[in-house]
Parts: sequence; C-alpha cells; structure tokens
Amino acid sequence: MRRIKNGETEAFRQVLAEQTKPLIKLAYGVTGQLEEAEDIAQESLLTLWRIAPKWEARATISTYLRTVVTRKAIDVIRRRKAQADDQTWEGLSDTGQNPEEELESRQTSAMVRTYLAELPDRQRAAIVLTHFENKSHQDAANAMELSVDAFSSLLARARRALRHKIEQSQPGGDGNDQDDEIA
Amino acid sequence: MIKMTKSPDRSVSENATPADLEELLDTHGPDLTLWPDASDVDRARKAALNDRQFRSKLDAATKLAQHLTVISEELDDHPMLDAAAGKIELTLMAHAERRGPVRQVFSSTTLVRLAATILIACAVGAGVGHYAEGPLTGGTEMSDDVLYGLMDVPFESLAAI
Repeated sequence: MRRIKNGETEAFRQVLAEQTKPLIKLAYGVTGQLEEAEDIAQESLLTLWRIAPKWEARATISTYLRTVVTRKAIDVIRRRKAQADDQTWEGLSDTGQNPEEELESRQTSAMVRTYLAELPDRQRAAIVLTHFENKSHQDAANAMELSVDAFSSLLARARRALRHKIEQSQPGGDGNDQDDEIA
Repeated sequence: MIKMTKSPDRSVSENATPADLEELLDTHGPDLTLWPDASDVDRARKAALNDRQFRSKLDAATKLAQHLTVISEELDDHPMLDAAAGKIELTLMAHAERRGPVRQVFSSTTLVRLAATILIACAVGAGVGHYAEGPLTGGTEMSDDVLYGLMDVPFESLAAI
C-alpha cells in the first residue's frame, strides 16, 4: 500500500491482478448479477486508489476491499427489494466444462445453484459470506451490519431452506419439514 | 470439506431435543469439529448413530456444504469472471495512468504551519515598521513631478491641459 500511496501504478496493477476476480465473485455471490458485481468491484477498487494517500493500515488491503464490496453488495440488494428474485444468478449457469464429467454431481450442484438463487437476498448473502468467503459469524455479521445472533439465525434459516429443498428433491424425499419457517 | 471458522456458542441444554440439534446443525454447519460446545458435539454424534432422522439431516447438510464448495470453485474458474476482471483491470489501470495518484496537495498540518508562519511574518513586519524609521516614513516628503505630477496645480487647471 505504501507503494500505491507513492503513486506507483505497478503496485496498483498487482493489487488488481490479485483482487479483482475474487471481489467480482463475492459481489456476484451476494447480488446474483454479474453487471452489478462488476460495478461494485470496480467502484471499490477505485475507492482504494483514491484513498491511498490517506491510507491508515488498520486492515489488510484484501480485508478492506472485501468489507467494502460486501457492504456495497448488501446495499444493492437492500435497494432492490421490490425486484423479482428471478433475475439473480443468471448467465453463469454453464461453466463450459465437459457435461459428461461427474454428471450427477454437476446436476445436483446446478440444482443447488438454482435453490441458492431462489433464496431471499439476505439469506443468500449469509450463505455466500460463510461458504464462499469462509467468514466467521462475527466477521460476516459485521459485514452485514447485524448482531452475531441475528446473523447466526439468518444463516441457519438459509441452510435449512436449502437443505429442505435438497431433501425434497432426493428420491424418497417427503418434505416432512415443510412447516418450518424459511423466509 | 469446506474450511470454516468456529461459530459463536449457542449450546443447548442436557435435554436437547432433535429440533434443538437440527437448529445447531443449521447454525454451525455439518462439520461437528467446528461446533463450539463439546457436549453438543457428543449429543450430535450420538444422535447421528441412533436417530435415523437426524442422520439424514446431517447427511443432507454435508451434501449441501459440498455442493456450495463446488459452486464456489466453479465461480473461481468461470471464464465470464475472468473476462469481467480483465475489463475492470484495463479500465482502472488506464484511469490510474491517466490521472496519476490522487494526492493531498497540503495536509492540514502543513496548512496550520503555513498560516502560523504568515502570522509571525506579519507580526515581525509590523513591529519593525513601528520602531524603525525608514526612508518612506521619515520627515522628508517624497516629491517627484515626473512620477506624481505637479501637486500644487489646481485640479480645475488640469482639465485645460
């Protein structure tokens, strides 16, 4: 960061090379839209460049950027509450891999991806922060500006909703637990 | 298996019901080694052995975690994310090279020091002007007809010139 502070564009290039894709992935995971994810990642990286002269090393660059991206992504999903969830997680369903490879597992993963897309935004954000970003409940709660208990409950509801859908989709799945609240 | 940090303790009592264990399963995930309370882990292990329903929930939770890991890895390798990252890197590097670093020209400390220096200089100047009698403040009246014109010429007569 000291090098970026001194205006070394090469150092900034290095940060971009390391951070851009994970940041897009994080933003995409939370928002479910690639275009929005690109905007969020770009704005966050630009913010880093702009604040470089005033940078105080309270966190690593990676932690700082992930926090900024998470908050921006959460803001985006808060603002678009009125919009339908069927817009989310579009466009990335085909990874371009050989469809014959691990067909069953891929089918189930595709199914889980669909279920993930169907989750309420905040529940999906909780799953992404925990399972994609490996954040602790404390860190994820901070990022989502929730208490730890509220985050844990949100995550539990999200996991249960996904688990029930998987159980129901399995042969013999009877959906016994449908009465549980999943919203 | 996914790698996750331990979640905060939300342990249940000795009389944990299957519903309590299911709640813990959804809160802390299927990897029992990450559960914060050892007694809950014991109860969950026993339930996994003796309670078919809990066992199937645990298996489903494990599968879910595995699929989420797969989805995360698929995203890591996805060409569209590569393309998007490349686009952003080009845009931001162009911006950085065009604009250069955004620098603070003066920090607040510098501005305070500058203001203090100006004040001191003014005070010193005023003090010197007060005590020292210079050529402009002396009794000799400056009069230069070429520079200032003829001071004793009545104003009205200038119009006639």
